[in-house]
Amino acid sequence: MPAGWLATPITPWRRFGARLLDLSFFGALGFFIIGFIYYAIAPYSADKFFSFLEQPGAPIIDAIMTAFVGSIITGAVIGLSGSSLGKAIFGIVVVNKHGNKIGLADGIKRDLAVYLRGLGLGIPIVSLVTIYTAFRTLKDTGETSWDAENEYQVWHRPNGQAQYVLNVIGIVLYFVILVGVSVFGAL
Amino acid sequence: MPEKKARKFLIVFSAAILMIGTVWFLSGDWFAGQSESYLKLDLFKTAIYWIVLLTSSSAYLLHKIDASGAFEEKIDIIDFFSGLTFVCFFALGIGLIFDFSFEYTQSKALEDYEGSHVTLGGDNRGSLIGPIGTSTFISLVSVHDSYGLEVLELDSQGGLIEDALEMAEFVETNRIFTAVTGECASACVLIAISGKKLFVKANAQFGFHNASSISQTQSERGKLSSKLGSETMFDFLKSKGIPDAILKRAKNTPADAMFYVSGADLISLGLAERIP
Repeated sequence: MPAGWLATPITPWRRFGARLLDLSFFGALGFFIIGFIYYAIAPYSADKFFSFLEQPGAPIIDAIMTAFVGSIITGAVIGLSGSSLGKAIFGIVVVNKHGNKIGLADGIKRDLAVYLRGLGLGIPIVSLVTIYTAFRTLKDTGETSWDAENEYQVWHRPNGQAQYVLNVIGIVLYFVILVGVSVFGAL
Repeated sequence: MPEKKARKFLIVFSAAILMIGTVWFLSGDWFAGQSESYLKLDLFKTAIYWIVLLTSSSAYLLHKIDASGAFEEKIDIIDFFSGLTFVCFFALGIGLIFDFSFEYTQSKALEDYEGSHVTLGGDNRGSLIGPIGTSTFISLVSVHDSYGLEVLELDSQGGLIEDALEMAEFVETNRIFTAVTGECASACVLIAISGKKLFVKANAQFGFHNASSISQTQSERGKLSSKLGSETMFDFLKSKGIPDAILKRAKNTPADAMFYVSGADLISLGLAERIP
């Protein structure tokens, strides 16, 4: 646990920013790995599958799958290290009630719970509702449902100039990843 | 502990560099040009790749063995990403084996696919009767160089697309007229349509369909090869003025079937002239 970090006040927007950044980064990484393996072993089927994702209406399926893959990898990283790319930049750490890392399996379970209950499986419109519900729970009780159930603790780097700069970097990085993935897809 | 983590990271990093380097360097045109056989080079590349992969993954696993000789249960973040990296490289290694298998069976199939030769039929008239194979283009060049072809008559059910495209380019560059009185299907159409002018009989038949790999047609690589061959063929036909309506039907015709267009249709489309 980094010295000086705080459990309160809660920082829902920083947590949301970290989540967006992690899902976009690890979702893209996960799809890259899946594509790499798929094309190496079965190039024809891989081509058909990824061509399908370019059809009209497929962006919704793409968003759902990216969120799922991103959640698994993010969960693994958080479980093994306590943090992730997004959480490190936005200054967030997740530990168990003893202050230790929550482990690989629990990390993945936690993030799949976020994917289901917090992000609504990444389905547009549905996710707006679930995100708002999770936000209200966090504001009212000080913790999210998936953390409360397992007694996980979320600690934050104190707000300050450095954290504001990092927040901006995190937001810019999120858009850079989005643009990068779109350009790569267009190529 | 930091030293052990550094060593693990170094093993994965150097293995990745070696494996990527092996695939990239031994696939390069320069190296291929030095090798007598592309297949031998491919086999060598695959073998080196797997030696590096198995050695590096073993070296990594050695760092996961505890004092009692059992694997450590604890996984850290380096183990997680190293595992993902090694999975990717194992998949690539399996892909290299499949690639070699496909190329080997394809090279064997090509040995039996010599095709027909272009023969001299009359004054400056050449004739191709039969399939387009690996020696067909060479025979076309030879006959043209020796006798100066002005007309190439085609009667073929098709053959190798790559060789047909070479012949098409040769016919176009040397402004050779093409003529079809019987059947000209599949890859043969590529040559026919490239002539300075195409002369046909009204009841001549032009066949269109999807391409097919000459080996392992049901394998992933065979299907991909077929798909790429079809795309190449249809793009070429479109560039030569074959209408979208014909191409659309052709794309829906499997490799083991044929969709025919008559010489009269090609004449009405302005793509050919009636044989006087």
